[in-house]
Amino acid sequence: MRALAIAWNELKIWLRDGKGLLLTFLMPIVLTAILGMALSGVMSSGADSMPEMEIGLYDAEKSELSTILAERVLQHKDLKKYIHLKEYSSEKELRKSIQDGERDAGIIIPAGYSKKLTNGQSVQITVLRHPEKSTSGQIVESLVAAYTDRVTAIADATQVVANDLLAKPGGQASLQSFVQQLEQLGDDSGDSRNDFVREQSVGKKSVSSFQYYAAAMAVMFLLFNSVNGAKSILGEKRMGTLSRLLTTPTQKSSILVGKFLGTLLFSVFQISFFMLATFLIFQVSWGENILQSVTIAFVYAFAVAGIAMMLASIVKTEESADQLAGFGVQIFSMLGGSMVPLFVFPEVMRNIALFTPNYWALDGFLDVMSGVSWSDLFLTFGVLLAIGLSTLSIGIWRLQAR
Amino acid sequence: MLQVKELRKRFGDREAVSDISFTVNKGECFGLLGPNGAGKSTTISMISGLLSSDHGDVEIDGLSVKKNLMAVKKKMGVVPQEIALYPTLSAKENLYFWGRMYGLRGAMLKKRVDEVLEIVGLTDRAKERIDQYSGGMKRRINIGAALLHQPAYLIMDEPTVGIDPQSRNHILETVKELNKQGMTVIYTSHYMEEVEFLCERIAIMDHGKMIALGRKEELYQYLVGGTSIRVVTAGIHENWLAKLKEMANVQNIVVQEDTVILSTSNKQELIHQVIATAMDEKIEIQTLDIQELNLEAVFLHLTGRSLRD
Ligand SMILES: Nc1ncnc2c1ncn2[C@@H]1O[C@H](COP(=O)(O)OP(=O)(O)O)[C@@H](O)[C@H]1O
Ligand SMILES: [Mg+2]
Repeated sequence: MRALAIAWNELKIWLRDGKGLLLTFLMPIVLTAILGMALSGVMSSGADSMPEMEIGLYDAEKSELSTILAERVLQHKDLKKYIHLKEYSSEKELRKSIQDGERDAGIIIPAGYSKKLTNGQSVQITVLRHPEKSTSGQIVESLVAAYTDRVTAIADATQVVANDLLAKPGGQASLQSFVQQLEQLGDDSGDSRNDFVREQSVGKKSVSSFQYYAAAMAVMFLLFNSVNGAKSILGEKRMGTLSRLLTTPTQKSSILVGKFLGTLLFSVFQISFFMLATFLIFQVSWGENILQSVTIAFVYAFAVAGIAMMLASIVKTEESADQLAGFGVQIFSMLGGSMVPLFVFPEVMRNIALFTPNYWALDGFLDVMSGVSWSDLFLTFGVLLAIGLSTLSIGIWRLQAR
Repeated sequence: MLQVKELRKRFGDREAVSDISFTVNKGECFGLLGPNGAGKSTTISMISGLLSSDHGDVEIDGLSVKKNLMAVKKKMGVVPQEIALYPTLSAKENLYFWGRMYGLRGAMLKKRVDEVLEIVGLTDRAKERIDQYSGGMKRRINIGAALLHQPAYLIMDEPTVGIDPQSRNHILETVKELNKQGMTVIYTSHYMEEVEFLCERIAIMDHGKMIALGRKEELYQYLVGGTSIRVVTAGIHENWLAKLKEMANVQNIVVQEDTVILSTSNKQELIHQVIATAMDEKIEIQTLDIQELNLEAVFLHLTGRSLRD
């Protein structure tokens, strides 16, 4: 089978790329460690002893991210009892209400908050404290910081991967700055403890923050392989090896299937390594029935490889594929729940998430972790296989025609 | 036998190849010569089935490229103009991969990879990555990858572009040797010395058209047993041109800006006349050179341009 030889060749080329390996194999583990540990939850235990607070809010931005913070995080069902939130239409009014003692603390979300956040820049959310109610101020501050840190960390990760892994060599600087930010995130974690873990699960067991982020990172990092797989085809076109393949007695279909299998194999290899590593290093449980997790990993890798083929048939150059990776993966990860758990999202966004393959994969992993039967997973398998098959068909059909 | 029949290819409103026909006999080394943009690569792409022609067909041992593409591909080894190899893999890994793509496997594959490394003279460095190679070494592996399945027809598109003289000589000797052993070769180049060195029969292309085709001696006859004289001046005057045209010695005259190219069978006399008339007309001659019998001169004669323009 020539398709297998092509797939094997592709795998070999990927495994030879040292920096790429660092980012695809090590990075998700590091990120899981940081997100899982630094932000692991003590909120539920701390919640019992929390005082009731009157909090004021001025949201100058009114964007998706700021609304999530205001409505979903601060008004999370466990917090609602303690935090009484009131929104003000200007900073002045908010300040006055604190001076008057009407509110214990105030939060000001500046304009441009979400843009900076997703660009990995630092943003200042101002927390105003009433001098006599400093505890409330601290709690609010840590909640806000935890949320902001988490979004920034993931936004950074996607940027770094997009810059370093996918783009041309020489992006070392961004990797370094990312590592620095991670270190800082680790230091901050002392006072930014929080847990947004799944509100409810289908199964019997609850899912830990570590498990959540392990699954989230696995899913997010695999998504990059769609772009990588597409780039590998575009790269062969640029290098002339694709033309050369077409001068050999190799069927076009074998070439396409080979490229698809290459991405699939690499993805399977990557996620297996990640699952094993997170289990060995952090004792992350991927569910009681590991076969279920493995099946999800496989069908998701299938979908990812299918998307790679479709992308290759649509995107013209490797540069545009990079740009797509830059924000595309970020938006998908955001929508699919890899940045902040989906339950904090408004209904509309949760519905949009249904169109992202990573949402289904993440949801599937979480289901397995909370312990479900095979039949509960059929929908997940079906959707991921359907995504894989349809994108693969579109890709092969469009590429065959060229 | 490889027959190219009335190939035509159009890109937008530019006709890259118009009605190219030629036949390459078994065991022959056939040269396809022409400046950049002449349509050589486009022709090669249609021969190798990479590009479909707008008109015409190619037959190899009676098999049509249009109808029996896979069968035809097995007979051909195509060396592309650019280096089409995987840069992060070693030469050996590349050869193994391309061998598999030509349907080789097992002991046969290993044997052929070793033989090809020997042929291109890189056995010692086979384990190094392609991106660590010099331009010449890359070119050699680029050729080697097309030799693995021992093709009856070797089709090479400018295989020596941008390399050092040593590697170039090595490649030329290799091709000559392969041809001697019976491989039919189509060699494309814009270096006339290479084509002249390797090939007996030659086609010259320009602007998508075949402007000459034949054995070397036949092509030289375009020069009518004579020589081309190229005169570069500081500025041409009509009167001088008129005088040149009247000369009995001049068989053909081509004018390009300040340069005049004259064909003659009596070069000594013509040189004297050219200099004498130039002095009369106060024309300043900057260069005067004599182009002897070679393909460059044939090309110059046919197009009024140099191959390397
Ligand atoms: N894919 C293409 N699309 C448009 N124009 C092309 C394409 N390939 C070649 N050409 C044009 O066709 C002409 C012949 O090109 P080519 O066959 O590469 O010449 P050569 O190999 O002799 O240098 C050139 O003018 C070139 O610009
Ligand atoms: Mg060319």
